[in-house]
Amino acid sequence: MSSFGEPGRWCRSCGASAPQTRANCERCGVDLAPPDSADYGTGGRVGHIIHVGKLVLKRPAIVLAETDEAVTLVSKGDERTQMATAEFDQQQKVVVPGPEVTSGAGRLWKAAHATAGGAFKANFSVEHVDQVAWEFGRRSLAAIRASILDRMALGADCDISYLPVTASEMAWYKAYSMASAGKTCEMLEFLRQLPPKGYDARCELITARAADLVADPALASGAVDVLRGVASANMTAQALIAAFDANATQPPKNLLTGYAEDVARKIQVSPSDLIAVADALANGRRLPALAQSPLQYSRAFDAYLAALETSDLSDATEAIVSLPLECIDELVDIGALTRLPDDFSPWVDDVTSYVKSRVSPGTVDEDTLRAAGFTAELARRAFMRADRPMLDTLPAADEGVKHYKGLLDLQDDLGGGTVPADLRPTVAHAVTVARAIAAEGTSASTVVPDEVLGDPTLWPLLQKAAETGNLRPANPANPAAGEFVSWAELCQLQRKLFEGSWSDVIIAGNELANRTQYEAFADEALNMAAFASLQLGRIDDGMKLIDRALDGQFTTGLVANAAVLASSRGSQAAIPYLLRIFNSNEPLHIRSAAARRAVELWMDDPLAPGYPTATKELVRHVLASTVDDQLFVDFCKVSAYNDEDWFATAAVKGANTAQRFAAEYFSALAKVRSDNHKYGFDDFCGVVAKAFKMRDKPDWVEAERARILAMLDEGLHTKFGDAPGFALGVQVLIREDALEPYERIWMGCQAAAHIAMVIDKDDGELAVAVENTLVHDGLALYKRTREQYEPRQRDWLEHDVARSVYILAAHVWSASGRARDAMADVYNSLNYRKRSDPVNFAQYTGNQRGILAEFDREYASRCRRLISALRSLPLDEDETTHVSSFQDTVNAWDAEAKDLRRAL
Amino acid sequence: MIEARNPYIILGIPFGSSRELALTAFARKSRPLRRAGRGSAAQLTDLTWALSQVTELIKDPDANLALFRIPSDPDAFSFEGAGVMRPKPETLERRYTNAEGAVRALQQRASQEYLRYLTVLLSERPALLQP
Repeated sequence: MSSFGEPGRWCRSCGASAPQTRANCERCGVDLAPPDSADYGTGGRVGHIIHVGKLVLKRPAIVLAETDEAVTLVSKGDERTQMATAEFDQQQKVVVPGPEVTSGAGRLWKAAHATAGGAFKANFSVEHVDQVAWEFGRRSLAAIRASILDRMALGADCDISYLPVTASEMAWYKAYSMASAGKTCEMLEFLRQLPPKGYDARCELITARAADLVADPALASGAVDVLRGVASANMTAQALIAAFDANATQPPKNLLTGYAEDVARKIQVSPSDLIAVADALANGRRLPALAQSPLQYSRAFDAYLAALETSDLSDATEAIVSLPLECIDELVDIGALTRLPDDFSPWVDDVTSYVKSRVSPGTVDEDTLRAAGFTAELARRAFMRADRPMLDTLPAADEGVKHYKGLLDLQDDLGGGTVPADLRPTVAHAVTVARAIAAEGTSASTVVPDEVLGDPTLWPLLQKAAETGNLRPANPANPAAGEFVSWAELCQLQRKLFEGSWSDVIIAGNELANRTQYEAFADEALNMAAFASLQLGRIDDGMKLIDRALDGQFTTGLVANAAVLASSRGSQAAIPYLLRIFNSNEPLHIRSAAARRAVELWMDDPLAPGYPTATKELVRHVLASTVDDQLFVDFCKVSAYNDEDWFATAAVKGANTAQRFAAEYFSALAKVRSDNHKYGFDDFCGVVAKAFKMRDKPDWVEAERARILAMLDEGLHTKFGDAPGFALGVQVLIREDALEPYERIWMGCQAAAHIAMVIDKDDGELAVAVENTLVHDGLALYKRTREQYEPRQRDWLEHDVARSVYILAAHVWSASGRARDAMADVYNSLNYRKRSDPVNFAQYTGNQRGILAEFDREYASRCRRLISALRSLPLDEDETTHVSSFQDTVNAWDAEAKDLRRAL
Repeated sequence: MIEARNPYIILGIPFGSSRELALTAFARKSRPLRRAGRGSAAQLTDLTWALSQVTELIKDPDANLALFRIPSDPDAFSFEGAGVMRPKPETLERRYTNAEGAVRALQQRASQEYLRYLTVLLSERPALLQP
């Protein structure tokens, strides 16, 4: 009889099952006793070890025999001693290293093997212990069976030539040993050596290795093979086959529920929960709660059944992964799967693309559509954005592509009369009807049927006819009729406006706005009426109309129109509307355009007073917002020139590196311009130098560079001595190496001349270091780069430099004259001292030599260097004469110095 | 302060219309003027100016805040929702049709999974193995 349950009494020799009452197998006659070691002792003490003796004489002693009163021990050789059982039981047992064994013989073998192998140190005779073990191990068939298992565990020889067990029994013990050791593959190998039928206990061995079978399909297949022989009469085997056979079919209900009940009994849990799941699976019904269980397919099956009933499966991605694609397709069709996460891709790429295209055809990206071969949706998208080139790239023969090409032709010719070929039949029919109404309605009163009324996307085909006022709904009770009538009236209104019928537009626009229940139509009607009012010069009326339209919901276009209308009252009137656009959610370029428009209106407004507060506040607000670089720069510039006191100290930072530098630059400009800051042009030039040295200059820097250079050109080319501020700025730009060579050469000389002239007024003199930097370094640079310039450039540059150097030379010549006079006084006083203080004669003479050397170094040679420079520059006649005069003077100084040195 | 002329109104086209629509409107409006002869020169000049504004100068109508917009809302004459001229997304044809067989396979797989689950539960029972 087929059943679940523990294996009962059975024959280890041939594997046949047997009644509990029998002692020997009905089939083979062999003793049915299972492996058992309990029949050769009373207390299971044989083979246990204790320590005997004291201190250094302490040694292991092993039990060789036992009675109720005493145990027989051997601790040295084969000498036996007795110990009372009670005393023995109180001793601490010694653990011998090695595998677990169960029988007394097994313990004796284990001790003998460990001692012989050196793993255990003892003085008893290994041979003697081994011999005793064999005596115990062969005492009965049950003992033999237990001994075989222990010897297998110890890895010892189990040769059956002197042991009365069959090959199949030996295979069974080996399979058992392998199962115990967790060696599933080897266990199956020995199970295969059993006869196909019998040995039903194999089910328990296989069950014990279930985790390995789940993890390894090859092991599962091997297990199924060794179970088939016993399956006909063993439901546990049937359940295991159903669990692990890759080709299994749906198991019968009694197998599922019976196995669940058997497992529940064996693991001692309430069977109802396990049986309930089995019952639901068997009957294809929703499952009881499966919380925390690892049953992915059961969950998927349950989720699928739930989706068929009421649920949306879109968020149950874990279940979706385990569903067959057929089920997913079905759920999409019934609307139970409507979206998937973007990053959800549990299948191979083309299947993922297919599923996503099925689930969300309107939102997946076009690469996904292409991967899924979904040409019709690609064509629809191309149509929606009027992308004819993309439509042309799609397969021309595809029905969807043909349809959308036709629809795009229709979109481009809404007012025409043709119906494009290749439209899908239902669409072609609707368009044909709409075209007929459009044609008829342009000249006569025409009714619009429900099929056109119900699809407002078709109404634009009727716009020409609607503008004539000839269209009316066939069925006034149609829900779309009211909206259609308002739309048609708006079409008429727009036509009147384009015809310039301003008064009609004002009247009809007001009427439509008052009559219609659709706010968008009312707003548009008021907007048109406002424009018509503007055309008639009724600005106030127009503003009232547009302000009325702005009540409730409105579009940015309406606000833009309000700004246009308000600007006719002056730039400041438009600012609130433009500010509203700037603060809206429109794209940045539109918001920027609104801000820019506000400033443009102010700049073009001759009546606006100075820098009006409203404009100022708008500009400040924009600079505190995130805007594009160009607008930021433009508004920084506006602030630097018109709101310098605020901008010089405002915490305007900018949104990026480029904006931050613009803020720094124009803030410096604002400080120069502000009366509240002691910030000179030379300070400003520190920031200018940074701008000039930028590698990839933005347009505004190029513009500023041109402006600054033009300003310096004009500022420096004035009367020498009148532009010291610019000259100091040039000094900074040269120090920072921020000028191009050409500019650097002439500006340096100009700056030096201006500074020298200012100093000269107070009888001062230009420092040699400044002269060297501004003039001589520049002249040396010119000498090196002269050939790079066009003749015209060279000519201009040399003439410009000549003027500057000439002025500087005159200054130095004049300063040298003053210095010579002063030094001569000192020199002459030393002559007096030499006479009055002859003791220090030599010292005074040395001082005089020092004065001569200093004059030559600081003045005469400086004059010679400037004269030399001037000789290479184009001078006019007077200048040439003066330079000769300088030279004569210097020569005279040299001759005089020579005489004086000789006299010392 | 306010722009005196509005090129879209002169051409009789909605604000922001395409270059193509402007050209069509120009052709439609200029044809009778040319036939009318000299008296229409001023109107023709206006039309030409309007066309050049729309086709050459107004690159981004949305960002043009100097012109009055008719209509103020570019979608004033169109409608939300699907229809013939604004079709709903297409439906990709179903490729996997045998749902019944797949459900049976899923049921079998779930049942097999459950049997395995029970077997693993049982394998964890102490003293399962008996020689």
